[in-house]
Amino acid sequence: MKNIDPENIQPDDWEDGFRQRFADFRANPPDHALNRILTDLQARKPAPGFRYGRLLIGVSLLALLTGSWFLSRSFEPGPIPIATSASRVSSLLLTPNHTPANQPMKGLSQQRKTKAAQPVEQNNESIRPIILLDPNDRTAPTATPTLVRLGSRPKSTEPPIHAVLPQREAGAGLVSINPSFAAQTAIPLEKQAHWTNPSEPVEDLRSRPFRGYGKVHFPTIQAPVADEAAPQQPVVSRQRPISFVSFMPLYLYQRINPIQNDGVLVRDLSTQHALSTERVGVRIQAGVEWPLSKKVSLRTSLAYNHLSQQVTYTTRNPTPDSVRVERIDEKTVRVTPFYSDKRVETRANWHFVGVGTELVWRVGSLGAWRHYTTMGTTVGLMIGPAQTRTGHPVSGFVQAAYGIERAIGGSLWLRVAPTVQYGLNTLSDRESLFRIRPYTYGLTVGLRR
Amino acid sequence: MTEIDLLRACQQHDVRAQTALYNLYKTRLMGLCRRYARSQPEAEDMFHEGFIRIFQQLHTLEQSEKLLPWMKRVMVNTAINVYHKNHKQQAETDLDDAWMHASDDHLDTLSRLSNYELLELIEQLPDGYRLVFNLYVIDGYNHVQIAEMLQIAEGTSKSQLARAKNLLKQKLKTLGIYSYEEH
Repeated sequence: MKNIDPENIQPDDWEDGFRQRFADFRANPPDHALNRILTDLQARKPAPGFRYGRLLIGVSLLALLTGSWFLSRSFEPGPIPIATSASRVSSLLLTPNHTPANQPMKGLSQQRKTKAAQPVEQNNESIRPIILLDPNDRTAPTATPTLVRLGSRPKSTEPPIHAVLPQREAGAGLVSINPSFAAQTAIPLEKQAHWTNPSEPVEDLRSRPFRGYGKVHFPTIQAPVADEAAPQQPVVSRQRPISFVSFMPLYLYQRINPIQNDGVLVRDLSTQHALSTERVGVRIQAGVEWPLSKKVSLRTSLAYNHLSQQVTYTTRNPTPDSVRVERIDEKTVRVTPFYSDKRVETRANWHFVGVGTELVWRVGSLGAWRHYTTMGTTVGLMIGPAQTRTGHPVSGFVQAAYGIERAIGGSLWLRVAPTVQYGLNTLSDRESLFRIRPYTYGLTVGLRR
Repeated sequence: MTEIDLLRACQQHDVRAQTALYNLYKTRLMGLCRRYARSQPEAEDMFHEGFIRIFQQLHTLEQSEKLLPWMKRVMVNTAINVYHKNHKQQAETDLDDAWMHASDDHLDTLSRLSNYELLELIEQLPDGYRLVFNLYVIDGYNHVQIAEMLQIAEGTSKSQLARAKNLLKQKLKTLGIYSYEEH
């Protein structure tokens, strides 16, 4: 193929001929074309509610998350009953793998060593191994007095568990909760203490020096669970939702762009104040914060924004103020119109109502003040005379804040948060000549409880 | 109803306004589709798809005086989409012949042929050639714009135009229509 040098191709009459013939070339579409177009247009048009589909999806997801979180909290199993723990403890404590007390002790030095009991299957439950010391070891003044160490048992300030020995059968002479280990856990009756009053605390003699034997180690005896007083259920601190209301004066930081209209010359555009100091409206917000974790909350709120913008500009009067007529010759007159300028002041107002979703992160506290940050979006509708640039009433803002809060009495907290807010849509009221994209900032002041 | 009223009513999805808008511009836009399509059915499909896009995107238009150019641009974009969708094989078959034969003849047959006869010749062009020819010669886009619209190199646009023109000349020659020799 020959190489074509495109630079040598120049516009020519041949091209002009085509252009003239086809620039306004017309052809008739099929008769039914309009019906097909309108039918397809309706079919492709989203459902009436789908216009706000993203908003609805967001709100639905939010509701779903919140609902599922509440449900999960509602059905969350409470703290493990102490009875269960106590039964485990009692069974464990009375099933040590050690030498019976009435047998001669051999190899005390070995037995003094800490022994790890094997897990005991009881009621099909696997019980954690515990560490025991030989209760008959009285020759170890330096031995650690710890008799039982449960790995996760916290130190408790509760009164000691009162022990009540079960009724002995005649001639039994031994006390054992687990019969299968009776032989190993047998304690001579004469060595047992007799506690009959559950309310009387047992004196802990384990750390008291006893004659010349140093510290005496008694086996720990646990009472049957059924005889224990019902333990007080621990209080679970459940984080509750926080309701709040806030007010924020909006200050403007934005650019104002004149809308280009034919025949209208706009100049000397200015606002009432410097751009960064002009208060253009307020934001009022009220809602609820749902704690997601200790530090993070989800804030849902209703927000109302009022924005107004006053702008002055200079434009030419549409009609001439005077006309100068000059006679050029007998048949010609030159007419020169004179236009004067006028200063126009215009104020545009926007009203916005939306639903906000923000994440609140509690940073920490400093003295009486707690610090937190928020970030999220507000999506809603322009309910005032204004519209977005595309004529669509849906609009939204992205906002972020860093705030502090402190208690001011009762359950009320005061909140102060410098906030920035960025408008997602350009707004135009179609009456003025200007278009505004609200970048605003302000100090949010609010209360919560 | 003025054009601005028509535009606003269409933006509000008023069916009567949409019908009026359609009746006002249907022949021009169908003519445009005929130029860009390789057949009448394809032009009708293009017209159908383009008008749906016009109605769907009309809310983005602010100024009514730009209505017709905007609608034409939407139709051209639709034609480009159709081209990208359909065009997987570039008809390169008769380029050599086109170049070989076209260089010697200067055609002045436009006045002798009807629009529809010329349209048939344009329809016979390979898709890419027809697209560039329409964009450059008739709709007045320059090569930089065409290259951006079609996502091709500017040089490619120029060479495709040259080949389209030569191919058209060759086809006219095949029809046996000569007017005068190139001087």
